[in-house]
Amino acid sequence: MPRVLFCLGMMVTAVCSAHPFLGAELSVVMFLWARVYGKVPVGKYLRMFRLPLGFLALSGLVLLWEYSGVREGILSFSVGPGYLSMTRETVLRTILVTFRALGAVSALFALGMTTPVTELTGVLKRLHCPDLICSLMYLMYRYIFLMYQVHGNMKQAAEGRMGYMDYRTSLRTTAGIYGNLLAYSYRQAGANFDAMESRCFDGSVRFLSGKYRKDWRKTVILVILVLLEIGICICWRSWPAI
Amino acid sequence: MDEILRLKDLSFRYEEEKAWALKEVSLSISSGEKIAVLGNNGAGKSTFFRCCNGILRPKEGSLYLKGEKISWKKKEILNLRQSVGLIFQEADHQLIAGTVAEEVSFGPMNLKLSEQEVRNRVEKALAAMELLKYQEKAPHELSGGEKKRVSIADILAMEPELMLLDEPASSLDPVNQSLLEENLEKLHQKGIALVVATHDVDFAWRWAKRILIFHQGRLVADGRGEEIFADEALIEKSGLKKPLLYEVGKIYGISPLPKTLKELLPDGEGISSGSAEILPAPSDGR
Repeated sequence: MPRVLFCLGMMVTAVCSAHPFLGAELSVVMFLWARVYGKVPVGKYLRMFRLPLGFLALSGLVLLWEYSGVREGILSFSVGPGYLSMTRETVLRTILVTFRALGAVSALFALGMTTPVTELTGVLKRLHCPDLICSLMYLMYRYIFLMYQVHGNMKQAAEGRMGYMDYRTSLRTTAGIYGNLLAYSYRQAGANFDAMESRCFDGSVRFLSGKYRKDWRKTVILVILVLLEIGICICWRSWPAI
Repeated sequence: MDEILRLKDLSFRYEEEKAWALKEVSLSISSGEKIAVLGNNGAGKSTFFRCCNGILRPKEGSLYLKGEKISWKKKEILNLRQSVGLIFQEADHQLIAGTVAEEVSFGPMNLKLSEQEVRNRVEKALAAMELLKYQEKAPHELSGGEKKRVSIADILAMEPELMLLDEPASSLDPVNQSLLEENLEKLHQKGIALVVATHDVDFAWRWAKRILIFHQGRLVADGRGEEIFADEALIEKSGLKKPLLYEVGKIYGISPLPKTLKELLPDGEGISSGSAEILPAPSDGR
């Protein structure tokens, strides 16, 4: 619970931050926390960040431009009856939003990489999140890996039979794999569900939570960090008005 | 011996199929029994197990749990699944949790037991299957044999009276197969009735006190190994082979027929390393 609240606190701080430096600083703090506390390898952390970074970059490109009836700003293109323009304001906005998102995503990643999903669902249940939602969340999480494993096996089997020897063959192989993936995964999921039913599954996924030794020192450090970030957020000069 | 489960003219057909997967199966299973289920692929063994556990509801016939007919109400189905545990052929189908301890706790948690009771059962089951050192490990990191032990511990924690094991030795190496047999013996000593589906006729001959043979959805034989394997026509029709030690015992006229090598050669008599003659000539001159 303290860990979840800490990460949530950092996320909210990132989203509410008034200066891009805060978002960047939060990203670094969460990376260090994941590295030191969660012992996540640096390479693994950076590899996982490729997708959100790519998404942020694309979103940033979109945010840079605004459409108006007048030619203005640093850069401007005529599009139809108006102009697509990049102005000082849009640049500042893009930088702020990008770093806010970076900070928030870092907090979320740190939570995901250091907390088993059963613990997360346990926390949600304690916060009175409906049982159905928690169980569905867990099962969706489990089945993502199921499909990933099935896909990996099919791809390996195809590679062993030269299914990717050239572009055309690769396309055909990929189409075949994805065509079969849903059907095969559905059957596997059915078998999983039978196994759950055979153990009196009643629609609610429940596991025994582990015995945790309350580490008050860690909890205190987390609380101090959150308060510090909130303090910095409040006191820092805001980014130039948009 | 107390009766645990009884099937009476039980029949089942899958929705998309025309042929019956199980047809008019009648039998009774009592406490402490050791039963092997034989039959070629598609004979109906897995369907039979799923019907016994209540996952599949039979289209015809009846199921009785400790003398009470199952009317398929929710509470009765839960009782059935608690008393009759099913271990699937593929352990991966059964493993859904993040750690071994969580996995084994899944069944008892579904029984709405207190947290302390669940903890006790999980520890007992893990200790029985020698899995205590793996309790914080992720199940997908375990070897095939270890996963199989986890899937058995999973069901053991629910304290069933009857355990159905669907081809438990498939995909296990010889060492793990031996370990599995030891584990089955431990379960038998706890008084749990065991029904094991297998293709290994030698294992069935060695281990089971009673053998069931399925063929095309029907129960075609139910009896002691000596009677079952003496029926040549049955063995051929069912696509089975006779166990090696059974055949050796028959050739040499040994009575009772040996079930293990130790019974065949109790004193190591006739064995000479490097010698071509291990046993004396068979009594019929072969």
